[in-house]
Amino acid sequence: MRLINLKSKLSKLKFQFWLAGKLLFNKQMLYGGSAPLSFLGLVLGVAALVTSMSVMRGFESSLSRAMIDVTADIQVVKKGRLIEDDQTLNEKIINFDSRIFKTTRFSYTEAVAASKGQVSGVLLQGLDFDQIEGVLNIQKRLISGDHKIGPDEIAIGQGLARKFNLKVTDEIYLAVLLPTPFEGESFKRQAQVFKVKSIIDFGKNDWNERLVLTPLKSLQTLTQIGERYTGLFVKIKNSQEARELSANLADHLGPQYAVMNWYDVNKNLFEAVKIESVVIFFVVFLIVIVAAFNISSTLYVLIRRRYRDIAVLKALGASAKNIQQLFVLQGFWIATVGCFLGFILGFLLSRGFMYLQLISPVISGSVYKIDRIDVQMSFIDLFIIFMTTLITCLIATYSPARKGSLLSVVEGLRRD
Amino acid sequence: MENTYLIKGEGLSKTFNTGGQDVKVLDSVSLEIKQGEAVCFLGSSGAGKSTLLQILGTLDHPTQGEVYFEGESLTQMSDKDLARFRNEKMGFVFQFHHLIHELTALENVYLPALLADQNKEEAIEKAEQLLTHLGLADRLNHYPNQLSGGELQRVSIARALVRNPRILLADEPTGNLDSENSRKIQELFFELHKQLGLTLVVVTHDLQFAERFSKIYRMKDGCLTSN
Repeated sequence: MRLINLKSKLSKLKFQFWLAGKLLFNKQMLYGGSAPLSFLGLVLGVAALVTSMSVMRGFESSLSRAMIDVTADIQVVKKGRLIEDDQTLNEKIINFDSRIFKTTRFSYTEAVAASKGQVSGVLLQGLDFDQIEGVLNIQKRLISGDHKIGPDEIAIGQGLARKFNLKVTDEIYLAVLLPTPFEGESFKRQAQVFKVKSIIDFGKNDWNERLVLTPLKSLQTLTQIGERYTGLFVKIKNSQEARELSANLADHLGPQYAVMNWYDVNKNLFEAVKIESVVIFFVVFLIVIVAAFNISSTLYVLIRRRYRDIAVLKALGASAKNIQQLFVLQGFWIATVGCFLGFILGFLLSRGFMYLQLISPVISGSVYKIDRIDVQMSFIDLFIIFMTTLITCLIATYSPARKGSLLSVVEGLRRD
Repeated sequence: MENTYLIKGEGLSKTFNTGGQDVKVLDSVSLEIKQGEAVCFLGSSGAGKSTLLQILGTLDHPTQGEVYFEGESLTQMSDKDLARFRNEKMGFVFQFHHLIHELTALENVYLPALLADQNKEEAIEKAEQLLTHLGLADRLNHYPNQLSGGELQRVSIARALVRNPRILLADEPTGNLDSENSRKIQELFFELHKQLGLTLVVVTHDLQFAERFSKIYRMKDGCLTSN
């Protein structure tokens, strides 16, 4: 019995959708008067929402991907000292939680790069290239050259390559300052020529201009630190759990270790992006609200034009509630088609934004940390946009729908 | 006591307020129409015949009086019940066809059946049968703007009949047609009356058409002057 009732309700709804669509998408609506313009307003509002949300989402994801690709999910360093015992710390981390996947050693030092008459401060980072697979994702970010970096070879960021006009196989001079063990206030200079093996887009503006990668062994030799290293990059199964795991890991390892995760390193920026996303959503959503109420006024006009049809429907057996539902369903149609077209237009605008970034710099890397955003459309964003647009359109169509439902049959039949 | 009438109006009055003045268009009209009767309201323009038809057809409410259908008062019914009642028991034909322009002839005809949650396939079958019976088999998928005046009125008659109504109410059904089409539609009304045993209530000012009805109510200034 329930199934029959449900079937009957579904078939009635289907009929009402059909009739609402038939009455809505007519020549007058599609080609005449203000209706197409107010509908266009809704499409543009949705497209603006989709584009702005995609840009914000893309910013967040570009930054987080850069962080995870280059510095892994979690970094563990020993406070104020280099780490000596490799296996003990590694095992302690790996065995701590089954969600921890793999680790790799790293070390870094400040250095000075000199080439072709130019000098610049860089951050020289040593990596165990045999162990980075599965932890870091440098290979994916390769622009030119080879991702396998051998002894006395380096990988540089695209910003540094541009600055020094360096190409793969070019040579660059790197110098580090080392403290002399017995004279506390003096340093000695240690320098070496490295060959550029690859040019990489590290994803972050400052990394592209400063970060230089070399095998850990080469860095240890240059900085004369023996087998010691700065810390471990830790890869976990789900990057979104990095905050929780890093906090637990910090408790587990004790106060002599500092544990950082990709989110907390740029926490301020990520939090700002989240707040900005919400603010931008509501500001841009005002366009949708304005458009929806434009549609509301258009529907008032359309309902006046439909006066006779409403009267006929009532004469044929449609109740006031049926008429109201019919026009509210038109609101549903408008929201659905408007969102669909808005999504397509938003997608095209997002693509346009990506293309624009290739032609000329759109965002400032020094301000936003990244100089290029890979615009990302998220299903959740689209769903939220659709639902809020739908609810707004339903609210906007409710009033004209109610007015339509209360029209008198006799009055309607006189209109012709 | 057994009800001998199908529809009955008792003391029906209707007053409109126009420009601050009350205008009485129906004045204490009482009448009974039996099942299977063919009744006609005849009168000049403004006599109140359309208003009476609309009140009997529950499209309008009387200012005073009651309408009964087989003993049941229609004046007290809710909007929803009245809508269902009209859909099940009454068929309407108007002077202007009043078809929905965005729907084909077939869709216009099965529309009342779908409003009543009837199975779509059955509704389509019934609508096709009716349109074929009325000589419109080759016009099923034509839109109103592709049909002639006579065809439009035949489609609206088919629409009125799709729910097998007990009573067919028509307001000047030939008023907008040329003489040839008008004659055809008149023939059609009596053919349907005969074939289906349908109760006919028609408003007209066409004397020739009126003379063919078994009962004629003459109206003047909102009153029934003769039967």
